[in-house]
Amino acid sequence: MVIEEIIYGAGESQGRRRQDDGRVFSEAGLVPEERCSRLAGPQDRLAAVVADLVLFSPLVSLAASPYRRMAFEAELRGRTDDRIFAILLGAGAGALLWMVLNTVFVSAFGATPGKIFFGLRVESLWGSRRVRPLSALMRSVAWILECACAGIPFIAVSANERRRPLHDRLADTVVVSVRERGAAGPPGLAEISMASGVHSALLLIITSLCVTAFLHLRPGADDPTGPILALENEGVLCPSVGEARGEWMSPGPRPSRLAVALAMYGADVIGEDCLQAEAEWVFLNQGRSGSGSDSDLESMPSRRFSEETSLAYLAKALVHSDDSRLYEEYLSKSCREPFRSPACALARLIRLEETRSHEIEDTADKAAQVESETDAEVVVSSLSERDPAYLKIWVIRYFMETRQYDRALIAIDQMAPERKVGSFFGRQRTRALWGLGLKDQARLAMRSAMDTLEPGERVELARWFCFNETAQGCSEQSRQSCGLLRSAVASESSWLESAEVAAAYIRGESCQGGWNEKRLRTLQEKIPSPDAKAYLGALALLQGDNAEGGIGDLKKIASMSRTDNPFFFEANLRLAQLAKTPEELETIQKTWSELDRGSEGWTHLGLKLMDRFKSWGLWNRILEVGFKMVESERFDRDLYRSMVVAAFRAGNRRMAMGLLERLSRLDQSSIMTDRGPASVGEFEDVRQELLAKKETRP
Amino acid sequence: MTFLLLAINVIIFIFTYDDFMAAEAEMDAIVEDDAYLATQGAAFAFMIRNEPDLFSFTLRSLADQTVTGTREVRRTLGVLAMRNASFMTRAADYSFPGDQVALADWRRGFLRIEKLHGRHPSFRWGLSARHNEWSQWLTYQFSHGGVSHLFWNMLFLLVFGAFIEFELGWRWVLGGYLAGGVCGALGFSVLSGVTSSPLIGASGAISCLIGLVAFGWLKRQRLTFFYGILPAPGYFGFASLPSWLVILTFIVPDLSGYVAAHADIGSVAYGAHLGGVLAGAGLGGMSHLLKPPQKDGPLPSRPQVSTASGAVER
Repeated sequence: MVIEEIIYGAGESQGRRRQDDGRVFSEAGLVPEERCSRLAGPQDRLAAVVADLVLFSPLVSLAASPYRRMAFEAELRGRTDDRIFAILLGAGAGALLWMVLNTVFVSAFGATPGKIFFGLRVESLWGSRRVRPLSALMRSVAWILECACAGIPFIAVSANERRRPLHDRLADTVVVSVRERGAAGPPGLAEISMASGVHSALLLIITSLCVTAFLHLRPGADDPTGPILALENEGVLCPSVGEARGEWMSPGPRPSRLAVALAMYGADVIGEDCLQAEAEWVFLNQGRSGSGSDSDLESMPSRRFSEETSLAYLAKALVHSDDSRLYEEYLSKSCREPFRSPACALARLIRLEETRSHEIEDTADKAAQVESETDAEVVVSSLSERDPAYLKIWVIRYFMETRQYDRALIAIDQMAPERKVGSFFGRQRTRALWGLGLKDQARLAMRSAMDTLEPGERVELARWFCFNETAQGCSEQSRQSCGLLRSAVASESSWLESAEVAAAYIRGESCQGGWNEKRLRTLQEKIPSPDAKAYLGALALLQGDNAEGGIGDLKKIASMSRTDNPFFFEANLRLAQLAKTPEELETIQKTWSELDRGSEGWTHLGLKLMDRFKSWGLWNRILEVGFKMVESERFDRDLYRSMVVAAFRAGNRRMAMGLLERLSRLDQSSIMTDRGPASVGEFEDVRQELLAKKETRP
Repeated sequence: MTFLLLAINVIIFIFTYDDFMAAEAEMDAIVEDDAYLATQGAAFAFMIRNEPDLFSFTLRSLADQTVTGTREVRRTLGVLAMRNASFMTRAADYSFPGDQVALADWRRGFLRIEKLHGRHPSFRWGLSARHNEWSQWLTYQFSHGGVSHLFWNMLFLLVFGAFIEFELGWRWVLGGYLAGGVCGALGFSVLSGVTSSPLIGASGAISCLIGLVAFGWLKRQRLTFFYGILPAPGYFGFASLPSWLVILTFIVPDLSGYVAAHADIGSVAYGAHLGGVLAGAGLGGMSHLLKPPQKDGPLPSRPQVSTASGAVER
């Protein structure tokens, strides 16, 4: 039964003549010229293909489905090559089935189901018009290849006289319509031109795409950091930790990856992501080896917690430091054995750092801090050479936080020269020397440290120096220190986008001379930081003829809510300098006393307030500011001297004497810093007078 | 009967919608936490490595990758764990090594999800490893997992159910729906295996109706199909075509989907579809015996195609 009778029913006439051989699917007696007038139009052919797709694609999909599963499994397992291979196999299986179906239908019935539905037939150009199986096969293979070329060769159906794309030409076939309506005849000039135009445009697009792809794939055209960046963002381990561990020079057995990571984290070399990845690696390996879970340990209290597990919990505590619940849980898990283990010691140091970062709101907080400080002192005083590097680094951090600069220097000198964390030691040594008042040595240390630092670290150190040098005004040293900052940012002006760097840079520029409106406007254009622009704009108005406007703008900046912004403090410093009445200073003092203590800007502003109150003889105000700074553990010799003088001038000799005695006690320790000799003269007079009064009292 | 079944499905969906959305929202809040999935994935990996014989090759490969692969692998395993009956039924009391703080957090979330399963309509009414009583074999057919799921199932119910009801009567629709649902559940159990994720939806029942049409009309009159290829005369309209095309266009894709789907993954229950189709094939054969086609009835007509001039071509 021919396919037509299946679809249309037996005995149904289609209005066409039957040939003697009984074939019903082609017009009998057609000559080639007549056949040209019955050529199938592009719309009918397209519609027939769509109908074939609907009918054949379920079978093609079934043929390809085992390979789809293979591809999915390969994707799950992360095997890209296997996935590509499975996709190719699936595509191949589907294409093969399609070719078989096409070949069978065309050779047996002269048309696929879709073509039959739309009254089309595939006929051979030769002899009996029946398409031989081999021709049908060639036709289907060519058809698949044309599909692989994004269907572009199909456009030829509008580009040649007999509407024969490549697959028809290879098989010597032509597609005709057996319906009156479906006949399209040869393409006209307009259709041929349009087809040629489309061919040309597509050729151009494809050529451009190929050239672009080639350029992209050329060696050197790829971004070499791409895969490394992806690995660092979501990697299992951090390459930098592996490198550092490979070069580790400290005596004793090579530390574990996590120990190195903790040391690098303490030295601000790696971030939380890296530390978390290393910690999770430890936990995953614990699971892999099937070692005991925590519940096993609960039942066996004598069993030691492994050092690595302790460190992993510690690392997690650091990573989750902003979530107080998780932080406490991890920290409590990190120390389950006698105090002396390095992990326990580090846990105590970390806990102290955390308690110090919070405001003391009640006696319980104070007690907790005191206990933490006591614990920490026990840890640092029992530190030995055998202790791991990560513990020593955190001890150095502790010394620097508590301004025990001399102990910090000793600890730094005892460290082995680890390259990967060497910049940390260089920076801390410089700051420790500065903190001890050994400013010339600090400057030398800074210069020698600069060569070992990464660009970001170099800028940060130069910034810190310039900022602190200029806190006491401009000097030759501050010009030199700020000159280092100028050199550091000259190579990469994007550093000035940071408000902290911009603030130090502006201070440095102000010491260069020629500080006028024009210079300020030039800087305003150069520095991209928006806060810096606003500040410089205000200063330019001050330098110009609109001082009131400048002060107004400074007040706006000084009242911003982002009190951690350095320009907040810079603006307040300027206003303190420009204050014409004590009330203006008192307003600034009120704001200052409500701020978080301890930042560089806060300290500089406090010292400026004390200087300015002194010019009005407001001794009680000096004492208010001074005591606030002492509370923040500002162990500054000059601060205490100023307070002694202020107390004496205020007529409170008892307080002055108390402060003097405290100064003497602190002087004997090494934690006092010295800003400079300028304030010694007046203090010595007061001191002599106080001591004389003390001796004459019966 | 078709409309009655449709109404029952819609009413049940409306009444359970609030509970469904509330439970889904709570579960999503837990599951969307990256740490939850990563920890669950690590725990699942440990269980797989500990008892490899209970799990497929793919899961074993993924478990090995949790140590050498990215966090993404752990998250993937964490998602797959929620389908795995072996994990979900034992994880609450299983002893896992590793980060005990993260595991404690994960366990709290896990127990919370278990509690939510008791409130979630899909888990209460659907067929799963934990709820595998005879009642679930019926109730799962009336439970749907969202508006889209309900819409498409009801659309096909309307199309095929109305046709069968018109041709054969309402009993065939009701019988096909219920028998298809039961056979669908059976097919799912045998071919895919019951998991922790519940089997829900009327797909098995509707597949039975589709199968009934496909096989029951093989020797009856042709079916009228609507086709639309281009928005031009002659390229859209209605055509009378044999019913085996239903097998090709509806049933073969289900078979293909079943072969391509992975046992541990996948949201479409092809096994249920195939079970329903088998039931439909049986009912189709029965319909030839109980309601045989007319012997001298009218012959099927050719597709009516309009020419551009409006004349109807035969």
